[in-house]
Amino acid sequence: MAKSKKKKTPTHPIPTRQSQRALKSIPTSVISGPQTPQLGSERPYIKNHISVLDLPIEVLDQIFSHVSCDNDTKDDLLSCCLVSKRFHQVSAPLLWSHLNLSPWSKCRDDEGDADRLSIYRGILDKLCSGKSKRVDGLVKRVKYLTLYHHNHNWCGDMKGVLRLPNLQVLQINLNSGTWDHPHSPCHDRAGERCKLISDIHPSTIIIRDCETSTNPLSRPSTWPLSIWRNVHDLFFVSSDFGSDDADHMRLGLPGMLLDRLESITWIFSPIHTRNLSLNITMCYFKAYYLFPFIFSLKQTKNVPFTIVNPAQFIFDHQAIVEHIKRTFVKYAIKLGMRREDIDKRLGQIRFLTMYQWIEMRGEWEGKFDERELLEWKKVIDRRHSGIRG
Amino acid sequence: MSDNKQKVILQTSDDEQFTVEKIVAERSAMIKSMMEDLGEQEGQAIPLPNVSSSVLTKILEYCDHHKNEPLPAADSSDADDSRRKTSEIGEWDARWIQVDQEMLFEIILAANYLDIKPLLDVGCKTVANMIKGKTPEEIRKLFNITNDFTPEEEEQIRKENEWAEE
Repeated sequence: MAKSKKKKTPTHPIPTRQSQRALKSIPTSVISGPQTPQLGSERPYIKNHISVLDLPIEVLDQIFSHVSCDNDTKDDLLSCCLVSKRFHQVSAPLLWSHLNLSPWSKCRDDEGDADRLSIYRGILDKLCSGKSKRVDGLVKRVKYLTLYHHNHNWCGDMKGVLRLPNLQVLQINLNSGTWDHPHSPCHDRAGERCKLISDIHPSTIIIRDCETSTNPLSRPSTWPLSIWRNVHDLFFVSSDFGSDDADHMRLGLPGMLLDRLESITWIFSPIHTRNLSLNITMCYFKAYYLFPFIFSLKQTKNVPFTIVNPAQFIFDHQAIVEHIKRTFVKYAIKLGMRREDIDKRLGQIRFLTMYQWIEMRGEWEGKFDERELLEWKKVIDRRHSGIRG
Repeated sequence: MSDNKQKVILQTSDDEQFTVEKIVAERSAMIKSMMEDLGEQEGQAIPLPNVSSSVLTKILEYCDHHKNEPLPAADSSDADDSRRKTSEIGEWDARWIQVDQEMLFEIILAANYLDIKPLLDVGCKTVANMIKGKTPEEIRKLFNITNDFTPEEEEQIRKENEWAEE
């Protein structure tokens, strides 16, 4: 080993463990906060021994952020919150930075459980009532809100609304599970808007796997129009998009003000929800679905548009891109657009492979979980190698 | 003598001096900027009053192993940078950091003080892995932490975080 170690003070006796400790000043100098000495004195073992509680706040913060990073559940962060006051001080803000609301747990085996729904409504009431100062302090931490299978009928009679002053990202995932659910009286309040989110103003909205009946962009939407006011970036994650949605969208997005919209990204997820039989015809239809969004709706037709993974995993990206472009041109000509306007609009559309998009960290950072993206990449890798083999 | 072979002297809290290659010492952003500030003064020891010789010995092992890797960008936001990565630890690092709890926390404190970001990251991930999958009581036991909540406070926390339960 190249490293050399020389003792320049041979007269100095080899320090004992005690004298090392006495000379060291790390534990007291790096930690601020009045509770430290108190916590130290409560500990049962020998003084001066370093424990996890001696680590500065920013280091604990880094540790807890790793605690939460390898799994989807919040169980580990939740456990950290309950360990001690100091642990709570650091882990609660992390836990609350991403508020995840769903009537059903992800494992789905409790779907159809009416108790679960009443618990959910209880949670919503607690978050919205404004009665607890503690909770009001915690919701200020929320930067990211995920609504999973929320239904506007479940918040219609709530006394308060959710107020998240620091919210940046709203992610909504609404698929048929919500609609067909035995405890979801979805047709009872037709025309009503979702009350829960009537006073939140995210700058990014991510819409996942929506169907016509729940798609906030289709008519009639249950989503309050105010939610779009501050949106800069709009993402869709979909392995599928129904023709009904396209028809709705062709009618326009009435009342929707998207003045601040700067980008729309449409991601074709390689993990399918419904149609596995993806082929060139499907891609053709997808181009058809996206056409009104890109070329004719007044709120979106001038916004830069990115299409990620249009070829899914089966065909050559470039061939699919050319195919989609030709389709767009055909429709646009039918619509009476001038060739130069068509070309100008085509120039605002980026077609990216999944690999290219994942490389562009700035495009998704803080909005998508890297683990999910790597999962998508893996699926595509597998497909590619399957085709080659 | 090539630039790489230049030596620096580091002096620990317990007054031991270590002569190490500059390239090894520079893994510490703190030492690196200190050397830049001090200039090339041959033979002058850099004092590290917050690091003991036993911890420095261990840390120099790490720095030596990683000495040829690119240094993280000085302005990279450390916490954000490591936060998004998964908690995988390199094979060598994982073996190297198999130490008792106290040494682990000493290493983390020293990495924080010396500003060696990848090392701090390895330390934090190691502690995170120890926490994962454990109940609050198991975590308290693991780290010898006293529960300083009253039962009422504990209940309150459970209730306000109910949304996070699966």
